[in-house]
Amino acid sequence: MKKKKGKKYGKLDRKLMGIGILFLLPAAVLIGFTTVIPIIWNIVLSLSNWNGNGALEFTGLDNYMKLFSDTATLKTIRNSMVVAVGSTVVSMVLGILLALMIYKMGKKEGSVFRFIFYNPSMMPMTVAGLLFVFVLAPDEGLLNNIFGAMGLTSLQHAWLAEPGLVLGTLAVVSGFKDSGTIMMLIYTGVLAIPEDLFESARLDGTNYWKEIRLIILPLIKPTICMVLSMNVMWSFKTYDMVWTMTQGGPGSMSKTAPIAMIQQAFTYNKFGYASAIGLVFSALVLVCIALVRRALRSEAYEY
Amino acid sequence: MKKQIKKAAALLLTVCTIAGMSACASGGGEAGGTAGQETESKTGKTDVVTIIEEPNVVYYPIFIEKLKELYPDYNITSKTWEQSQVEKTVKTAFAGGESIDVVKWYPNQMETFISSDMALDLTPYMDDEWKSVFVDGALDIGTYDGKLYCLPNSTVYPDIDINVDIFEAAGVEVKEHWTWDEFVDACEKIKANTDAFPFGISDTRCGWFQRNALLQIWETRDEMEEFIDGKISFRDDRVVSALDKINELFTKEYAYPGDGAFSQTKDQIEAAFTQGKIAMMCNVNNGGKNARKLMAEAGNENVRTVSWPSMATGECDYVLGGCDGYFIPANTQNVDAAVNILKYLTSPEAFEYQVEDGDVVPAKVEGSADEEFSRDSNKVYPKEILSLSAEMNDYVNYNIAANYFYDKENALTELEALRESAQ
Repeated sequence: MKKKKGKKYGKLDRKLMGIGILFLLPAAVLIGFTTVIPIIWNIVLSLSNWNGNGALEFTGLDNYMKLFSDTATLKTIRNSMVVAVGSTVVSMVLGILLALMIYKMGKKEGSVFRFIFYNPSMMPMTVAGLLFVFVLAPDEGLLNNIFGAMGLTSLQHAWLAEPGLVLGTLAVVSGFKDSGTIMMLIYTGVLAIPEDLFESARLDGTNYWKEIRLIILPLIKPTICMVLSMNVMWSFKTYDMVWTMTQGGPGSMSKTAPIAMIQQAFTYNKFGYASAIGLVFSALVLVCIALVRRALRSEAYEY
Repeated sequence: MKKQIKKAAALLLTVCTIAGMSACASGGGEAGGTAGQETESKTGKTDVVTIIEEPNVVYYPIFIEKLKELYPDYNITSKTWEQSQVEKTVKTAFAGGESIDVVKWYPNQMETFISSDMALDLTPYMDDEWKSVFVDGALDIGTYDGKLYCLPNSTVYPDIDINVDIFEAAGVEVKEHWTWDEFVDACEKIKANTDAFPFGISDTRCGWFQRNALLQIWETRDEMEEFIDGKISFRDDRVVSALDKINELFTKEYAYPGDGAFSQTKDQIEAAFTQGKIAMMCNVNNGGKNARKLMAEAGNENVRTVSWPSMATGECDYVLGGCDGYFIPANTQNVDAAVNILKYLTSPEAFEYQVEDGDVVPAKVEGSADEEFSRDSNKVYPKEILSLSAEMNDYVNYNIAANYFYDKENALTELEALRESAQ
């Protein structure tokens, strides 16, 4: 019977590994200080009461028990999910469509449209939010005035003030803003597909719609999966856009989990409870990302 | 040789990073800390940080310049005051062990800082000479359990600016003081007889209707005090009836622009007022002067300022409000410097600058504000249900109007939960 042997490394391998570890160490220390330690501190805080000053009081799972029975907080988590899902759908659909349209354009006009469509993504969230506050204002807003000029007064709404509309509006605006980044990432993925495949397909008489369905989308599926995961993560974290546009209003109709966390900590001095909301919310985001990745899991094509 | 250089570079990078991190980590120490350990800048001056300078208020830059002249030994850093950021900034600084020395805040909304011991008790520093600057009873608003935490600098209460032309067109008489029914009647006539909306109120002020009502609906002051102390339910008939009456204003679309009335910014309301789209603008007394200026620029000088409509039938004819003010965070490392600055900010000289700008000040100083902008200053009641807890403060200030309008039952449940948890 042969004894199972571990992998042996040569002297050169070990040296290279050593150098690699040495180069990775600064980044690891940095991540440790800025991410790992805060996460551990957050877990400790979520099991305690702390008012931002003075000693921590260990309370076990009280903050979590309170969270799951606090309908106001659960509503903010639900609002976050609505905005995140809506925003992800809008940005992915818009981003992919724009990328596919730009791919068919010539070099010059393609670059002009790339610049135009990528512009919203370059804008700071707060600036984009403020612009849309003006666009969506009920009385003087651009959108309602366009509807008015077209005689479509039945479509005029208080987009950021009606309970049934506000979350959807926030999702669309947030999704629109992110669509430029999605477009660029998907476009890069499409560019990586060898031209030969398209030429062969064209010889077989396929049109662009078939190229999209049979070549482009299957081959960029790993890119779509990666972009979707990132997008879900961004969308859940949306704070500045919501704060700039509605501040959680009208009333608390559009209050999202990040706003609730900040209020609990900095307005109500309940840092422990805020940490518990943060951790539960993070766990929810991780579950969503895992589900998305699992749903889109498939074999990767080599080309 | 090349490898050795690579190794040395990697080692150096690692050491630098660790040293940098250690330096960052060692700055904090215990959160909060205590007051009194004076900090000096490299120039030997005492470092003082203030958050008082509100944009577009003319006298704050003057105050800062005067303070720099008065105290050349202080290195004064003035940060811009922005209402939505102040709490966050002060508390983050506090938790990080950093000192902010003087902060502008509301004396009647100090609960958020006092409940976490973040405000310095000013009682030991308040000598008779300093106290004599203020009018009698002015300091009560910033006093909690016998300790003075926040000094008032201007008396603020809500009132209503009126476009008289629209009132005349609607056949409504302008009254300095009016009852709730008279106000509703005026709204009805304006809506029926003109193209204008009866009134406009910005999103952060929508709760003023409810806050005033919750002071005025009681027969006696004792009853009102009981409610403020959380001993009377929000489901009490008087409360529900008052909240329903307020709801009607929005149901009948008296508030600009109908749908979306709870989400208008202050700028949008001011623009609508100057464009003649609304007859009445809900404002603060200190903002009246600016409203006149805006209207004059728009070519309309026929503006008057009247009292907030009253629901009072008993002895509680009060209005909400109180004061803007200043406090010193408890972890200030420059107590003496902070107190000196506070003494200047609440000196007769500083108050006179404010009076010149149209403020109503709670101090015995020369000159007086326009009667229209100070007429109800004696009706301001310094305590409200807001003081029950930070959560109640937030809810009644910013959420009650829209939440009650869209889901009355749920709003009452949430208010009751907040009241009970604060007991």
